[in-house]
Amino acid sequence: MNQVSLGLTTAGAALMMISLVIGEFATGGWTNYPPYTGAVFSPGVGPDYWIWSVVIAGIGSLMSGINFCVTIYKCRAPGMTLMRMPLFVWTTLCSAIMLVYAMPPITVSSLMLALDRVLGFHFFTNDLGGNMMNYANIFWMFGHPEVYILVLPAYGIWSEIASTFSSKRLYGYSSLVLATMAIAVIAFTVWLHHFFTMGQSASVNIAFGIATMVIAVPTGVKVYDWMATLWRGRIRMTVPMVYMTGFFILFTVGGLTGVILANPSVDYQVHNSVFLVAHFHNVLIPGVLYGVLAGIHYWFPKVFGFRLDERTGRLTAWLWVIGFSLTFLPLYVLGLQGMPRRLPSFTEAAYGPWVTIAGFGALVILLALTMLFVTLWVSIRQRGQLSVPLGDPWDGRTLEWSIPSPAPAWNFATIPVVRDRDDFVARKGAGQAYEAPARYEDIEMPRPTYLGLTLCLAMTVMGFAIVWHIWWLALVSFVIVPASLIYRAFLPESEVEAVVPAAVVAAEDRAWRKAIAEARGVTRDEEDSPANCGLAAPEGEPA
Amino acid sequence: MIRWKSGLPFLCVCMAGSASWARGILSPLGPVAEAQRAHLITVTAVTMVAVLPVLIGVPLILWRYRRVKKGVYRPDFEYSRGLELAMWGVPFVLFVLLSILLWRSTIALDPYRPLGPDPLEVQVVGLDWKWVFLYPEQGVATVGTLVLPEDRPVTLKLTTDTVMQSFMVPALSGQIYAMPGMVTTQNLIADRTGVAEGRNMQFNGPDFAQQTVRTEVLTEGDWTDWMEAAASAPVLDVTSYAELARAGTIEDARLQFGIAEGPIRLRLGAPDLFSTIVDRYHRGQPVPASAQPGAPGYQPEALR
Ligand code: HEM
Ligand SMILES: [Cu+2]
Repeated sequence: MNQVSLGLTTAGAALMMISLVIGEFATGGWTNYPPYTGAVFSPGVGPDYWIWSVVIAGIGSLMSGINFCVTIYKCRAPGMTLMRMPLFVWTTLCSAIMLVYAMPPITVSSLMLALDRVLGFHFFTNDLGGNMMNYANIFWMFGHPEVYILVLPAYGIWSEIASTFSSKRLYGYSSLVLATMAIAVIAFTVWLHHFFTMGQSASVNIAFGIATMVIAVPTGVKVYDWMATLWRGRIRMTVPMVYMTGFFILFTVGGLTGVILANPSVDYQVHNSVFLVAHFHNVLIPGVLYGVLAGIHYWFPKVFGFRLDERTGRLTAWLWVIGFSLTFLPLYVLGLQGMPRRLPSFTEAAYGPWVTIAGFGALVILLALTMLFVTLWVSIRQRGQLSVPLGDPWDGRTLEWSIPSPAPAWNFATIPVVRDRDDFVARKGAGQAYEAPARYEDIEMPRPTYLGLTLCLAMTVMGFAIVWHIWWLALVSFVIVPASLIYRAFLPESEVEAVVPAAVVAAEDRAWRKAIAEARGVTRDEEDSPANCGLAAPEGEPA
Repeated sequence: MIRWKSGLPFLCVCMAGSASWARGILSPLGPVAEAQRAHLITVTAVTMVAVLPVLIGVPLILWRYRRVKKGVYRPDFEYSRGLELAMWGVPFVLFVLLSILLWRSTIALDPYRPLGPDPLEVQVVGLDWKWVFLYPEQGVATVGTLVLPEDRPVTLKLTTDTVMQSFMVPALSGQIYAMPGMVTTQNLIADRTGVAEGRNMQFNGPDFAQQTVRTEVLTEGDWTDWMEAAASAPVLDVTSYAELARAGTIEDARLQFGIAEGPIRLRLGAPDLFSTIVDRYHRGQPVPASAQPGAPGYQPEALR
């Protein structure tokens, strides 16, 4: 299911890429508002590509959501109660639940638009009772939850990073869980703030404006919780912490402008302006993108077995922070000056200086992007010195750091029993971090399969065929989907799953434990040196 | 870091609107935009109570508890009742306060709320890529220019004869969507003479950038003279409207009416043009692409 979801998401992306070469992509912005995107005004293929990319990738997202929910509810290790889960898991769970509820509306609105375009329906046309307001309404029932689907997992990453790099327990765990849940629920009640200006009555706007502002409360609580986590810690300014610094300052400004936009009377002025563009980049780039980059730096050694270079990494992070500020903060001024979004050219002299600063900022962002690849390249070249095979380069707090790096295919040689939220810290404190298990068992692993790739190709072809109205091809490729699923369902167990014998697991695990016994634990002073091979000496005793 | 923190005071300076780049809401021509600007400043100020602790506290904490300093270290600190109360309580109190302010300003600045007796009604029709203004009482029509009398309440009635658009003259009021077959309303007053820029804010195709509105506020007397001068102007009736509605910019309209420079001022030959435009989408019959201005397949003959 995981593979199929990824396959479908890739198919959506592939369609988008194809559109750049054959035909054109969405001509109506990311919201694809009709009637501009209806058949009457946009007879080209742009909106069709948009529709089918969104629908196909959307099904992938929906399946991912279901998959995460089920895995988190059903497949936890013994002792891993809900309230012991790392915060990243909590935020992923909330995000996944939101996906399940938010994807259907956009699939529906997109398919309704497709019916208008292809079969001459009148859901959103100008004539025969069609009404584009319904499109905006259904679209944003997805659109608003979507922004929190993006940011919640990042909130989880920030939580892990704050506590790891200050060597402290996470402050306000229950508050953070509660705030995440609150956001996930309230996010479904505010969608109308994306069209305060559609002409509805003041009371409707008031209700949705106030609902929107409520979200700022749990969001603020989270930021304060992370601050309290750092307070009285032992903070190391590693790459993820540089990103987090940028996040703290910039995201807070983004939250402030969100609260400003929640006021319909102000929104009338800055809606559809670059002020709005500044707001959402201000929450998306420092909130989500920095979170993802910080997360990559943090977990990279776990996945690939070596750390990323700190020096270039830190430079990259600062460039992102500066580049973002230069590019997007001027847009607030431009927005207040009345500059609309999606403006291809302008003559107003007043815009000039601000657009120039923003343009310069874009160059800095380009540089940051380049440095990101330089960081990767430098690190890959020095992977010998950066390698951390013993698995715990950051003095980690949660159990993923208690296994080798890169993680073996089966992750844990034996399933751990969880007793604490920061279970690995508790074990290290008790001197039981690396106790060898009494016995090993066979481990069942899924075999590689072509199912995801097949579905990805089939759906890409189907989308392409529908866009260009090649109906026979669409039908053929659509039939491949149920056909390959049924085929797989009839495969014998041995073709689907492979068994790793206990002896193999034991040999690998024992070799790793032997290396640990012989290694010297490094203190945090040596974190960024070749001496760090992934065995941590505990941080100083509590004062 | 200094840069980001100076960003906000800096915004406030912009709002004070002293420099030449102050336009739109930053230099209002009427009470609606003025109140919107005031509300923006109030909300920003109130929210600062929640924002400043982060902007100031984060650098302090990062400095004070940096590892090499070996400061106070409490690795197991994870809950404090007082802190918890403050973290939830302060934002909640701010939220209540802001909600009250939001409620009051949304009612006060509701675009549908009339701003006084005897308003001037101006009908606004969005076309690709120009705005047409109809003054039914005066029998005048303009393209790309909105001329208003000083100190008289104005009621704009808006629709489009193409895709959705969003009308805004930021120095006077906020924006409101204009949609085909539907009528929305925006009330405003200009309380001083002057010139302001307005435009369509909703992307609607290649010449979106050109869809601007030059707004002039004149004294009552000048305004009356301006309107009366239309008596000798070219006429806007159903036939010339059908041609005007074709996708094109203000420059194309100039060519059509032979007005090389100055405002495009027309005599309104069809007093009920506005309702004709709106009603055309409600006849219970399909409106073919050839009769939808702005569509690539539009034929002016189909409208007549
Ligand atoms: C403090 C919490 C927030 C509040 C009160 C808030 C409020 C708003 C409001 C009122 C709008 C509509 C503005 C308009 O269309 O005129 C908006 C737009 C938007 N917000 Fe936020 N927001 C908040 C946080 C976030 C976060 C965390 C994200 C994403 C991670 C986000 C992403 C967006 C996006 C993508 C849009 C605009 C989409 C578009 O029109 O293209 N916001 N926000
Ligand atoms: Cu939203």
